[in-house]
Amino acid sequence: MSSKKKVITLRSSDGEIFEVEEAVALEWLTIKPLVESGCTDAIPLPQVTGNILAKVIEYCKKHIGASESEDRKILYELESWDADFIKVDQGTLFDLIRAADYLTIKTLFEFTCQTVADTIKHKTIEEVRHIFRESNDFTPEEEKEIRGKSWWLQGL
Amino acid sequence: MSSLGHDVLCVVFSFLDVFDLIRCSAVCSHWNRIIHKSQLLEDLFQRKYGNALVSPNPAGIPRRCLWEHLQDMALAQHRRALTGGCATIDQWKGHSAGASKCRMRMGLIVTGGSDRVMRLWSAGTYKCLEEYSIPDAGSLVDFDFDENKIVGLLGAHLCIWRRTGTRSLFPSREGSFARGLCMSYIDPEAMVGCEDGTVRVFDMYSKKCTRIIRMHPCPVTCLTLSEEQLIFSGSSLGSITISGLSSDERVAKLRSTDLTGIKTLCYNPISNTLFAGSTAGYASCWDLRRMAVLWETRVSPNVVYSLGHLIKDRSSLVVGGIDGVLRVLDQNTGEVISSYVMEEGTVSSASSKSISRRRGRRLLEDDHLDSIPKTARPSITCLAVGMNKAVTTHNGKYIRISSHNVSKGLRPRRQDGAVVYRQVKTVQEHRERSNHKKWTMGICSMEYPFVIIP
Repeated sequence: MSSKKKVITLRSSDGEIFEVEEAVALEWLTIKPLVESGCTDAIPLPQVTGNILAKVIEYCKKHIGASESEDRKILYELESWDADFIKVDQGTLFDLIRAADYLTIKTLFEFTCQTVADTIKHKTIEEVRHIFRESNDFTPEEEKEIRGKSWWLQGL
Repeated sequence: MSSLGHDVLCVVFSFLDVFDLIRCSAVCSHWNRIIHKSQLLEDLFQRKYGNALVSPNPAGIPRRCLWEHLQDMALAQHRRALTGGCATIDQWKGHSAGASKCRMRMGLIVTGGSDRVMRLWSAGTYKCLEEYSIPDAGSLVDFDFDENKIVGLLGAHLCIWRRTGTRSLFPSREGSFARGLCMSYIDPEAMVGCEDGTVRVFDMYSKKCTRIIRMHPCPVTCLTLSEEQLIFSGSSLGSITISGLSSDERVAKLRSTDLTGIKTLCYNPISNTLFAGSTAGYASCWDLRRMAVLWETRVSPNVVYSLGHLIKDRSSLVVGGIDGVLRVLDQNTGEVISSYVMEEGTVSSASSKSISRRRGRRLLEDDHLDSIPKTARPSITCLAVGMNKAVTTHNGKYIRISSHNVSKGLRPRRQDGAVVYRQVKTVQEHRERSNHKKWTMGICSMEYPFVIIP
């Protein structure tokens, strides 16, 4: 087997087995040392479920090599692929962030965080609370102070 | 989102711009702590606008100073949006008939009309948050509100609605309260301008009339208050007088008489100026330090019903009246900087079925008003100004919000037109740093240029 085609085996928290090319796994900084040491056993990933791991692998496969491409057409296609890829519910998006964070996949982590940030942009405070199911837990005094110094934000 | 943990939230927040970040800091105490402890705001500000600050202190900008700068930035954005931006107008059916008055405060709008109900709306989503029914005692003339309550003037009665739900009507004493025409409210007192030329001051808690101030020989048509306990009132014969809350007599006359009545008044405590709109279509401004007229502009051939500005803003004044044109004036010169009407038939992607969105049309100097159909410019009976937006009522079913954006064409890009990614460091490196301060990640997008004069 040539080194280019070397396959790494991964096991998700719910016991699913995945196989990825070594080149993909080397982008995951958390398991990189293990991969480099020539580990042949299935690498356990106790913090990532199978369905999320499948998404992560899908993303990384698509992006390997393509991100560095200078071809505008490829980059454009990648962008629209990304847009479809990230059309997931909030729970899945958060799971992806956690997985990317845990596995230290820079590109996916930035992309998912950026996606969350984009949903916050230009929303009112109440809308943001509603989207992220956060409740207003300020004391009346704190609220007054915040309102006092950022009065101009109301309804902005 | 709190389930994502501190570090991840920091990264998410680092993708936001200054205003979004401040909004996030007001979402909940957890987010607030993260944003303040990690100094994200200071970092972002320093990075974007750092060269505009004189502070040579490398330790960072003092927080108070930062907030002042942020406020300046917000006001600058507001001015640019109102005067040079493009407008979108959202309208929705707010009442079954005669929505004539509106007030806006803290991102909330209250509207009232002839359908015996007042409604509280979110200025962001236009959702109706609360509804208050008007008792049979009289029809709604005017109202005002704050965080806790709404005070309404029903002919010869005052009524308080608490935001918690209870309603109480002031006891009416026959003959002591001539018909009221306008009112204003600053807790704990409400002032009512009456037909007999007096302003009556009511205490909200004892529910009694505590003072009667004689201000005009003719009906008081509009009034406004300053935080320094001054009452400004305009009359149907065109006089404007000032009185202290503690005295029973007027203390000064701004204008003794004129041909036309005063319809609306608005006081700016920052510049200490008073704005008035008249029946003959004039908008005027007085410098209260010198008690002299600063400017007078005939903005319209017909009645000016309402004018207003964003609190603390000393640059633009929004004026509306019978001709239905929303005009933005320079507060310092009285010059009309921009005028808007609604564009007809250009309904674009409405965010919900009940709200229709149209483009605002900016009028050019040689546009003839008569050629613009009345449907595109229904008479503005009342307006209220918020950040980058104005709410208007038209004595009909609809409430309109005109939102102004700094138009895309004006928005500067980086010289090469590209979105610039800052140096991105890995999460690992981030972890290794106990101090998040110098860690940068995100998109550097300059939405508008600001020159901050320290």
